[in-house]
Amino acid sequence: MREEAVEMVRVPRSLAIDIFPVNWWSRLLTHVILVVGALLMIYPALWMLSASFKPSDEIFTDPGLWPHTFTLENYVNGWNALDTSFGTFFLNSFIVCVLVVIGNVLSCSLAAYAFARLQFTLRRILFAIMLATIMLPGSILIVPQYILFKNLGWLNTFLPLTVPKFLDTDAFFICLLVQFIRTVPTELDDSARIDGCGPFQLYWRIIMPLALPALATTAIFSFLTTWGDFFGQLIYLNDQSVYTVAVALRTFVDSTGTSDYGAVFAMGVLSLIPILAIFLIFQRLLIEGIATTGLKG
Amino acid sequence: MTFMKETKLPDPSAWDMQVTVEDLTPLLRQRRWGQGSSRTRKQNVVAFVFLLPWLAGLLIFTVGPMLASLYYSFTSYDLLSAPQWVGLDNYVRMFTQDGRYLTALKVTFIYVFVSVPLKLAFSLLLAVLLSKGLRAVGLYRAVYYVPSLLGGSVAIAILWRQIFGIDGIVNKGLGLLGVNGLDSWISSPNTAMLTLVLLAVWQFGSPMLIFIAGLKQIPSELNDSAQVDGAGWLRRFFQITLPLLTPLIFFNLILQVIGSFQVFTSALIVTNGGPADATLFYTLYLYQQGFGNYQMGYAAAMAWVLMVIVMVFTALIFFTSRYWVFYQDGRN
Amino acid sequence: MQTILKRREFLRVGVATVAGSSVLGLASCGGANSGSSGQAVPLKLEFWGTTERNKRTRQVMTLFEQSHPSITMTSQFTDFNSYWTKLGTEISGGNAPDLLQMDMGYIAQFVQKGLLLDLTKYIPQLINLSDFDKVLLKGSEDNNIIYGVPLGGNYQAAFYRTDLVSQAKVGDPDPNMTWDDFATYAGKISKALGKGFWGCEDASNNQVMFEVFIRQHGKEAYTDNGQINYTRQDLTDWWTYWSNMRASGTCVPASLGVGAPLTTTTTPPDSLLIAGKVAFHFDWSNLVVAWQKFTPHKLGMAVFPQGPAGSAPGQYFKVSQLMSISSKTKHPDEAANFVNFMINDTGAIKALDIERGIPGAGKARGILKPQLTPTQQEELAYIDMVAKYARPKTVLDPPGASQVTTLYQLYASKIAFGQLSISAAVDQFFSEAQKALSKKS
Repeated sequence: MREEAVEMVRVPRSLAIDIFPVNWWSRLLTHVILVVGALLMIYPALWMLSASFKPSDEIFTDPGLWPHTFTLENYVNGWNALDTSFGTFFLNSFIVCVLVVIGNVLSCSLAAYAFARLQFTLRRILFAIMLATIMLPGSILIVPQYILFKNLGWLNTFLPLTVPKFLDTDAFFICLLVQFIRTVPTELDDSARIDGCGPFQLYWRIIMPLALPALATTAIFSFLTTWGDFFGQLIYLNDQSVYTVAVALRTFVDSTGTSDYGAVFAMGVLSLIPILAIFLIFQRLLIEGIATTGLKG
Repeated sequence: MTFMKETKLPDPSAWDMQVTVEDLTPLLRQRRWGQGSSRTRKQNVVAFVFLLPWLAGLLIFTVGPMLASLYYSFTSYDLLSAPQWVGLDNYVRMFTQDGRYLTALKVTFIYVFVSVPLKLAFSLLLAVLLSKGLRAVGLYRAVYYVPSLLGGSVAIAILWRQIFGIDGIVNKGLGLLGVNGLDSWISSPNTAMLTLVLLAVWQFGSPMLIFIAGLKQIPSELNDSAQVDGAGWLRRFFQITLPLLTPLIFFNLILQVIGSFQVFTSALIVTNGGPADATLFYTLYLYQQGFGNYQMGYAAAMAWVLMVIVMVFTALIFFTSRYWVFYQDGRN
Repeated sequence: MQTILKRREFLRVGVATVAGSSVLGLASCGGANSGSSGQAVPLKLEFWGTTERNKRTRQVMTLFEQSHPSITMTSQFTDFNSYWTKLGTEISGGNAPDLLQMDMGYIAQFVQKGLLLDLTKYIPQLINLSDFDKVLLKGSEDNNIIYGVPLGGNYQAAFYRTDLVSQAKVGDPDPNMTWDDFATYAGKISKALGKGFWGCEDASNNQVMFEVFIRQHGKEAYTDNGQINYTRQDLTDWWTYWSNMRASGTCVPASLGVGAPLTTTTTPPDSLLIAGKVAFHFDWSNLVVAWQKFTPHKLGMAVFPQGPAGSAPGQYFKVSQLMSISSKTKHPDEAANFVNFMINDTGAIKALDIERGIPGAGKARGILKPQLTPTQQEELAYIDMVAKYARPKTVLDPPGASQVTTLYQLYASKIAFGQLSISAAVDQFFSEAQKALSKKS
C-alpha cells in the first residue's frame, strides 16, 4: 500500500488533476487571475514595508508603493521609542522561542516514540486523550494556569511560556511525529535490537536521526507559533524589560501620544522578518510538513 | 515539491487507534520467543519513562487546570482574596444578566459561520488552480501561503487597522475604482466585522496547502478515464475530485472551526471589540472580564461554556461526517 | 474595609501618638533615609501618560536618586486603558509597584481592596503639605483619608481651533453659552466650513461631559452610597441633544465620533481637531500644551456650555492624578520620601512643570509661574476664568464606576449607530449599570 503510494508520486508529470482544458488562453487567464490574486494577497505586507521607509507624515498622503521620500528614520526612531530598545525585545522573543523549540522537540519526540514504537497497556486510551487535547480551547486553561504560575512566583518571567513546553506539549506535533515514525521500517529496529540496543538507544540513535525532517518541521512550527503567541506573552510579561516583540509592538501603538506610524510599521516589518526568513530558508520542509499533517490526519 | 512519505488519504477513524501490522509485529515476536507478561510489564515501564514528560505536563498543565477552572467557575475570584463559592451564579449571570456576553456569543458565531466557509472555499479554489503543473506554481503557492504565516501577528493586526481606516489604502484603492466617500471600515459596526472576516480569509494559505497535497493524491487514472468517457471538467470536479477530497475538507473544517472560535489578537488590536461591541469576540470578552475586571471566576465559567460549544460543534461535524465524507477504501 | 475602619479609630484616638511614633522612626524629613544600612533600596514607579510625561518623570527620578544615593528607582508607563489591566495583573501576581499613579475614578475601588497605603501618618513629617491647595487636597480624599497626593489639578476644557472659528466668522465662544446656544454656534461653524468639517466632536459617549451636565442640575453623578444619582430623563435629554447634533450635521457622524478607535479621538496626532476637521474638542485643561505642539494653529480654551439660566455650575477642579503608595510596599518611608520630593523639590517641580496639571503646592505655583510659556499662561488664565463656572465635587466615584463608564460608552455608541432607540438604550443602560454597581468585588 505504502509502496504504491510512493510510486504514485514518482509519476513524472505532477498533473494529478486536470481541471481546465489545456488551451493557451485558459492558461493565460488562469495566470492572470493568479497574479492579480497574488498581488492582493501580498499588497498589505508590501504596503507596510514601503510605509516603513516613508516619513511618518507622508505615509497616508503618499499612496504609492514606492516612497517619494526614502528614509530610514522610522527604523531609528522606532528602535528606541519605548524605554527599552527593541533589541532587548527581539532578544527576549528569541530566547523564548529557542527554549520552546528545544522543549517541544525533546518532549514531543519522546512521547511520539512511545506511541509509535512501544507497546503498553494504556496505549489506545492515552493516544485518544492526546488527540483530544488538540481540540481543547486554550482559554479554558488560561485562568488556572495563570493562578498556578502566580502561586509559583513565575509571573513576569519566561518560565510560564517555556517550561510547559518541556512537558505537556502540542499534541499536534506528537501526532505529526507519530505518523512519521510509523513509516520508518521496523527492520532497522530489529537489527538494532539484535545488536543489543535498548529502547532508549533505539530512540536516540536510530529513530531520531531518521525522523529529522519531521523534527525539523516541529522545530520550525514551534518557533513560528511562539514568535507570534501574543496572548500568553501579554498576560505573563509585565515589565517592559521582559517584553517580547509582539507585546512591545502593541504597547508602542497604544501609548497615548504615540502616533508615529512610520516607526510602528518599521518595527512591525522587523518583527516579521524572522518569520519570513525561516519561511524562505525552510520552505520545503514547512510546506511538506503542513501537507503531511493533513494527509496523515 | 516532492512529497515523500505519503500513504492513503487521511482517515478520521485514525483518531482511534489503528492497529497496524507494525504494531502487531513486536507482539507476535514476543509470542514466538515465548516471553509473555513479564516482557509486557517491562515494556510498560519503558513506555512510562518515555511518556513521563508528556504525562507530567498533561496532569499539571492540562488536566489540573481544567479541573481547577471548573472549580473556579463556581466561585467569585478577584485574585486578590480567596475564591468565594457562588454556585451557579456565574452561569446564570452569563445567560440571563449579561447582555454583553450574549453579544459576544452572537458576534463569535457570526464570525465562525462566515469566515470558515469562505476561507475553505478560497483555499479549495486556489488549491485546484495550483495543483496542476502551471509554470511557477511553486512561487504562487509560496506567495499565497505567506499571509497565513504573517496573519496572526501583532504587526499585521496594526496594519489592518490602518489600511481600513478612512484614509487607508483600501478606501484609496476603491477610490481609484470610482467608489468614493467611503467611511472608515473599522469605525462602523456593520463593516468592522467584515474587516476581521477578511483578515481571516486572507490567511487561507495553510488549508490550501493541505488541499494541494490531497489533490496530488488523487490518481490521475480516475480523471483520465472520466475524460475519456466525455465528462467535462466541471462534472469531473464535482463527481470525482470533491468526493475524494472530503476527508481533507473534514480535517480542515475541524481545525478551522476550533481555531476561529478562539480568535483573540486581531479582535483586540484591530477593533478592540468595537465599535459598539460589534466585534466583541468571545475570548476578548473573557480577557476583559478576567484580566480587566478581575473576575476570574466568571472568566473560568465563560471558558467552560466555550469548550462545550466547541465540543458540540466538533461532535456535530464528526457525526455528520459519515454522510458526506467519502474514503477511498470504501470505509464510510 | 476592616483595616480602614481600624485606622479611622486609630486617628480618633490620638493623632499625636501616631505623629510621635513616626517622628521617632525617622532620621529626617526628606533626607537620605534608607531603612537598612547602606543597602540600595529599589523603588518601582508606574504611571500612565505620554512619552512627554515619561521624560519629565524620569528627570525627577534622576534628581531624586542624586539626593538619595541609597535609593534606586525604576519606572514604567503605559496608556491609560492598559494601565489598569497591567496594574491588576501585577498586584495579583505579588508584583505591585511601590508608587502608583492613581485616578479619582479608580481610587475607591483600590481603597476598598486595601491596596493603597493610608498616607496620614506620613503627613507632615515625610510629606509636607503645608502650602498645598486645600480644595485640591480635599477633592482627593476617600472617606476623609488621604490615599494619594494630588499631582496636579485641572478643569474640563473645550479646545478650539481659533483659525477655524475665525474662518467661520462666528466670533469667540461666549462662556455663558447654554447648550442650545452652543448647538446653534457650532452649527454655524459646520455650515460655514462646508462638507467634511464639523463644529465639534460627538460627546455623547463622553462621560466627563455628561457628568458636568448632570452637575448643572445641582446634583452629583453618584450618591454617597454608590448609586447612580441621575434619572432616566436626564440621560435621555443628554443623548437626545447629541442625537440632534449628529442629525443636523453640527457634530461629527457616528463613525468619526463614537466609532473611531480610541486613539483617533484621544491622541493628538490622529485627532480630528489637529486634522482640522472639527473646531471643538473636549478634554482636560492640562493637556492643552501637548495638543498645541501638534498644530501650528493656535488653540483656544473655552468652558463647557452652561445649563439654562439658574443652573448650578457644572465643572469642577479635578485632581488630575494622584501619587499613591501601594499597601504592599516594602519601603513605605522611602516611597513617601519620593512623593514629597515630587511635589516639593524645586528641581522636580521644574521638571514636571504643569504637564500633569496645576500643582497643588503653593511653592510649586510660585516657581513655575514666571517661567510659563505662552500656551501655559493661557492654560493658567483659563483656570482662573473657569473657576466661577465650577464648584467642588463632593462625592467620590464608587467602586464599579469604571464599569458604568464602559456601559455608558457602549450604549452611547449603539444609539449613534442606530442600533437602539434612545429610550431602549437608557433603560438597558440603567439596568446594567445598577448591576455593575451592586456587584461585590
